[in-house]
Formats: sequence, C-alpha cells, structure tokens
Amino acid sequence: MTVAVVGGGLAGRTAALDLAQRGVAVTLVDGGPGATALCGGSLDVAAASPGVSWLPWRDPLQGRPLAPRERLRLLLANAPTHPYRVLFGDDDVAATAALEAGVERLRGWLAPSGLAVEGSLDDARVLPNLPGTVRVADYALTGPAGADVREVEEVVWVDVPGLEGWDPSYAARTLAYDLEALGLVAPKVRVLRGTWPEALRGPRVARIAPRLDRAEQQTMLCDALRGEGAAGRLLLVPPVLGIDHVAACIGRLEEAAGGRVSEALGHAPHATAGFRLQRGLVAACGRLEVRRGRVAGVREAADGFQIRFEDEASLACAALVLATGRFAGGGVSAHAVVREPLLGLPLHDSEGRRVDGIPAHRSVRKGYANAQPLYTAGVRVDASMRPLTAKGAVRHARLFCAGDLIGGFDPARERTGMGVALATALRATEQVAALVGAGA
Amino acid sequence: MRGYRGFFRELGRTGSWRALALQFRTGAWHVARRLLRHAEAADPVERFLDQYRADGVVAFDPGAEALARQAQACLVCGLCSLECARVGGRPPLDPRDAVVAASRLAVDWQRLGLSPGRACEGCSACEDVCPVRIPIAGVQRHLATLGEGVGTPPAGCDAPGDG
Repeated sequence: MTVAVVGGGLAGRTAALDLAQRGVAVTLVDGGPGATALCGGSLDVAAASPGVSWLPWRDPLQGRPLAPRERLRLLLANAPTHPYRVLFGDDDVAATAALEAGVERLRGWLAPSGLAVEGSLDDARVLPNLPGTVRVADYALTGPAGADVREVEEVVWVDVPGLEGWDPSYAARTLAYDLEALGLVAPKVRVLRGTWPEALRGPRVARIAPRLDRAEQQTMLCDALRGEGAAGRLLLVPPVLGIDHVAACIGRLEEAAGGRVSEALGHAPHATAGFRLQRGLVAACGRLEVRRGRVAGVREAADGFQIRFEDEASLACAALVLATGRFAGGGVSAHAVVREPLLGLPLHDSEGRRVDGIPAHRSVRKGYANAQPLYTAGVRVDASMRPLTAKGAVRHARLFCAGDLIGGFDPARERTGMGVALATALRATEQVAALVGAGA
Repeated sequence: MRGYRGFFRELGRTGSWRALALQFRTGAWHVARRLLRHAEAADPVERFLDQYRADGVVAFDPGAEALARQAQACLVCGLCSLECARVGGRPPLDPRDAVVAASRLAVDWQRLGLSPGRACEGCSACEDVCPVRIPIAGVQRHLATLGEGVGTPPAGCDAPGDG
C-alpha cells in the first residue's frame, strides 16, 4: 500500500520526493500551492528581520553581522516551542548539518528547472524588496539572489513606467533610509528613467514577466540597458525577468549592460520568485504519482488511513504525511472557529494555550505591532514528527506532520519557514521509511 | 376580540353611537386598505427593486452569491495573473481583478463598467495554481454574462487586461 503525502507546497513535495528516492511507493495529494508560492525569493532558515523578528541581525557586543548558523544557535537556545527545538534539542551542530543537507537536496531538485538556491549558513545577504525595504536573507533563489547591496557602491533602480503601485524614486529613498537604519555603509541610490522599452510595459508584474522568457523580448531589454552597468554598480529591476528562463535572461542582461543586474525581492501579488519555486518543485515531482484535488476527510484505521476526496474518490494508504500548511495553505482553518479540518488535531500556540474550537477573533491581541500568538498555532509533534493529542500522547503511529502545520513558531515573523519545511519533512520521511520499510 | 376591548369600553363609558360609527369607519378603512395592498402586491423584492433600481441596486441570484462567497477567500496573491500570462491567456479582465470584483456582493457591474461582455478562453490554468481553490473560470464566465449587451467600459475605468 502506498504512503500518502497531503500538501503541494515545499514541505509536502520535499517529503514526497525524498520518499520516492528512498524507494517507498508514494502518492502526492496536491491541493494547490500554499505559502511556498507566495515567497518573494529569499529562502530563510533563521533569518533576522530587523523590527519584526526578535532574532538579532548584529552581534550586540561586537557589532558585526551574525551568520545564519549563529542565529540558528540563538534560536535553539531561546525558542522552546520552535520545531527546530523538537527536532534537534539544543544541538546546533546537528541542526546546521540537517538544514544544509536539506538545502542541498532542494538544489538537486530545482537544478533541472534552471533555478539555483544561492547562499550558505556562513553569511547572510542583504536584499532589497520591491518597495525598497531591505531583508536579511539566508538563502535566495535565482533572480533576486544577486542583489546583495552590501557589495556595491551604487544601486540603480531601473524604472518600469506604468507598473501599478510602484514608484522607483520612493523605493530608492526607502532603500537608502533602511540601509542607514541597519548601520550599513549605504551605497549611492539613483533611478534610471526612460530606458525601459515601450513594448515591455504593463500595469502588472504578472503581465511583463512571461514576456521576458522570449529571446526577442530579452534582446529588446538588452539593447535598452546596454552599457548602463559598471564595476561596483548594481542595476535593480522589479521581479519581471522571466518565469522559466530567469537565469538566461539575467545572464544576457549582465553581458549587455556590462555590470551586475538583479531583480528585487518580490512580495505577493508580485511573488514571481515564489511562482518559479513552485513551478520548479512541480517539475521535480513530474515522475511521482500525483493526485490533484482537495481532501474532504480522512478516516483512521489501525493499519492506515482512508482519504476521501471532494470528488468522492478515495485513497487507502499505509501511512500519512500531513503537510497542509497553515492559514494560507488551508491546514489550519479559521472559518467560524480555529480548527485542523482533516483530523481535528488539537492546535496549540507558542504560549502553550489550546486554540482550536474557539473563534479566531478571541485569540487576537490588540495592537498592530504586537506578536499574535494565533499565528503560531499549529499541531504539536514528537521528535518523529507524529502529531500529539491534547494530553501529549501520539495520535496515530502512522500519522506524520511536516511544514507550517507544526505549530510553535510564526512563519511570517520568525523567517524560519523554509528551514522548518525542509527539516521536518526529511525527519518525517526518515521515520515513514523505517516504518513501512523501503521498497514496500 | 382583544383589539376591540377598548372600543367596547369606550362605548360603555360614553354611551355614544357616534363614537361607535367613527371606530367602525376607521376599522373598515384599514381592512380595505390591507386588501387593496394585497391585490397590487406582486413580489415584495420586485417592489423594492422598482423603488431603488434608479439608485443602482440590483438583485443577485443565489449562484452569484455563492460565487461571491467563494471569491471572498481570495488572498490576492496574484498567482492566477502570473499563470494566466504565462500560458498566454488574453482575458478581457485580469483573473485577479475578476476575483476581487466578484467578491463584492451586490454591485451593479454595468454601471461600474467592469463587465467585460465576453469571457476568457476558459482554460482553467489559473484555477490550478489558486491556493484557495476559487473557481476563477466560473467567475469569469459569470462576469461575462452580466456584461452582455454592454459596450466598452466608460472612460476613467481601468482598461480590462492590458494585452
């Protein structure tokens, strides 16, 4: 009997791909992309997010920027409910090794799609966002990965006239201000106007990006930016440089411009990089058995599960990996009351309170800047990634969780979502393979 | 009988037949008016709409309401727009705009000039990438039926799609 993985995002696809590589018969139940496809291009395992996350960006005593592995150590020491803590205890060496191994696997899966995951746990990048704010990113995808503003003397925003809701001069001012606030030597920032070709304009990133997959449109942009680059200068473009051929597009542009060209990080609804990541993962799962559709319910038995789909079809499986995500993916529903819709698993927030079965608004705290414990709500798991009941016992020996469905951390605020997805999925598959036996 | 208790008390107190006649006239007029109103009646919703149609109020059918409720789950992530543009779709209204528009319940589409009057090709590629599974092709079809017979949007409205 097959092992079912429910979830079409990073955690679910990681689990399915890893199980397939271990020789386990696996069916991926793909109910659509979750938060994975909304990522702006940075893939974080323990990234600092000044003003948002409590993880520090600099060493408070020495003032130098912290490496991701140092922040990981701080996180393990200070976040008792974080899934990393469940996975690795306070062993930061094991955590680092597991995360690096996970990223290496991801690189292998994305390489055929021409996407690279750049970066390492030794040095973070400082990447600009489309509105001009900066983000500290551990890893980054092809596209925005080359936009580290610490290494350049001059940043030039390339104006795309007509792009709705984006003003390059505003982005330039914000970038200069944010870099100063981070205590970095701010490069000169200016805006390059009047070069973007007429034929490549549009009100939406979504309408421009697919056009730049085509060679003739790339040539047009190359001609427009020819000679604009220089040593120490970074040409920064909104995330429009193609969908399937972004590496080729940037390569051609850099050659023509004679300097560095990179995309800014996107954000929904301009999450081009997340869209590319999702496409890369879907392509990697091309050889797997994939069942499209949403799960209506799951029935438990002693030796497995019966999954019922919304179209009344059903699937029997020997073990089940739930990677349904949180609020964006649908793994945690907040309609009427907060609940886990498939099995009614108990949900706890990072403060240990049980939040399922009560209306979401009751768990919301006043104040815009306050951390909301509701956003940390998720399933509690043991070290094998098996969900626990309210009393702390294992719910089912053949049920596993991965990704954002596991609670105790806030994926948006703590910037650890990608690391959690990879590490929990790989731990769960290790356990599943041991349970059902490879080759079963 | 309960309602007439006051009348009998009044009659007993004043002993006036004139009071009785007045009461009778009022009562009869009331009953007649009720009967008359029933005759003119028709559908109360229709009567309401007749009154307020000039102000832009329109009735929505249950199907459209269900569609609007589904559309309200939209995260405005823009993945539908990206996928639509990637597969080379040329919808009259960008799928994201269509969903956001459809999530507003009782809007007079024709007045807003949002109705495209023709549907997209209906390839459903956008539905496959939607994280919350909104039937976007259905939304587009629905908007197209609303816009039948409507010409180009009035000046000042966003051009549907951008080609």
